Amino acid sequence: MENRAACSGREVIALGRIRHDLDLAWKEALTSFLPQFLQLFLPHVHEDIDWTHTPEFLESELRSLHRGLRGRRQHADLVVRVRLRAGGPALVVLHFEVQSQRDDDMPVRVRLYNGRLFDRHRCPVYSLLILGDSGPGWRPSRYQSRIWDCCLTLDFPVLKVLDWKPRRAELEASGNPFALVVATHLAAMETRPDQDARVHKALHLCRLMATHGFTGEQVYGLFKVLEAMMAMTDELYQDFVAGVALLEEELDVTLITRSERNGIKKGREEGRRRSIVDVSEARFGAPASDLEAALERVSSSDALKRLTRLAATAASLEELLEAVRAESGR
Amino acid sequence: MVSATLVEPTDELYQDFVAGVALLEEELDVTLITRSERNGIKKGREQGREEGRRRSIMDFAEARFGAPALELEAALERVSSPDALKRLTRLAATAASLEELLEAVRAESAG
Repeated sequence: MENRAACSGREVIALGRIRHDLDLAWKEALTSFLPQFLQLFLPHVHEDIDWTHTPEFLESELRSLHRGLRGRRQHADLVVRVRLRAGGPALVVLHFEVQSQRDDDMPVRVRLYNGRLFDRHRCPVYSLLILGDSGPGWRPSRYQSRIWDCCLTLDFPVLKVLDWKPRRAELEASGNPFALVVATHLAAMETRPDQDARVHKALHLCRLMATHGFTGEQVYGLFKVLEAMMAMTDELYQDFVAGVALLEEELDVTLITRSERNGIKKGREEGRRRSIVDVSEARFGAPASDLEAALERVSSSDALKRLTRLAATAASLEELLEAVRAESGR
Repeated sequence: MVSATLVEPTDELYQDFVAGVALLEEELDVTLITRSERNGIKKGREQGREEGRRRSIMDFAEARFGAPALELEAALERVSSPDALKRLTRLAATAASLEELLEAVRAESAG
């Protein structure tokens, strides 16, 4: 029983992380490949948008929209303001909700965000619900509330990822990077994190990503999405890493190598900061939480080098702290 | 959340669970960090710490004993244990002479 208890706590965390990563992966994919997404699934929308104006992603605004809504966020969403070609209203807000588990509150949620976004922007709000769950029957597409002879209806378009399952070959052959995002989601739905089949599928998709003539940036974006969507056990992940290394060599691309390099850069900065704190604690004794907080805002590697030296030579903690603050103010 | 009320884990497990949930909640609204990136961060953190410590030892030595200590730098390159580097960082701040420090570095790099 105790063992069971231990498992369930960790499993909750692991499952939470997998779902959260899946949602974030969609968000990342929509952010990186918005025109391609619309071209593939909503060509009429794509056609009406004036792409000479850069779409405006309204991330910070989204956070304030969530305030006051009950419960933790369990889904990802994206809000983008776009300009239309002549003939319609100038601005439209696109609102994407991604939901990978059944949630009967979805129509209410779509209605709430749609309303809040309209309040704020006073322009048409296009809400699209993307359903990544595995139940073919769940497709909410309408919110309705009626009291006596007053009725409010919101009909919204729905994209059910599962519907694309029979068209997998088409997706995998497509020159549109978003087709591979959907293929990856389908592959993740069909394989479980502890199945060898997942590693094979993931490697197959990596090969497609690297050989479709996408730019390096696009390939890397797709790879990040794949890694997030196709969670694996530690053991299988090792196999996956080994397989990717072979692919990288064969096809002369950087997938995992690039991602790791990015991580190493971030990690090195953290390590540098840590060593400054260590030296400061060894010399001045006090646990330096002010110092840690101020260092968080310094990311230039030259500045960190200067500060490492100063940590060894400064006469007092105050002198060091002041220098860190001056660097972080830049 | 439900699991927390259904089972009664040990304190340690419960702390682990709470930490995990906090981590998840903290991570909401952030950009995607993939597993390979996380692995890279881990590696980089260690590298950065080592680099920073080696640098600090050199800085201490130069500030305290004046000489540009090339021998020290060469000997330090052969020390990679994080604990050893930590001990040497402390020693660099307190050693009476460059020789004392150098000897300690050599002892660590041999061990």
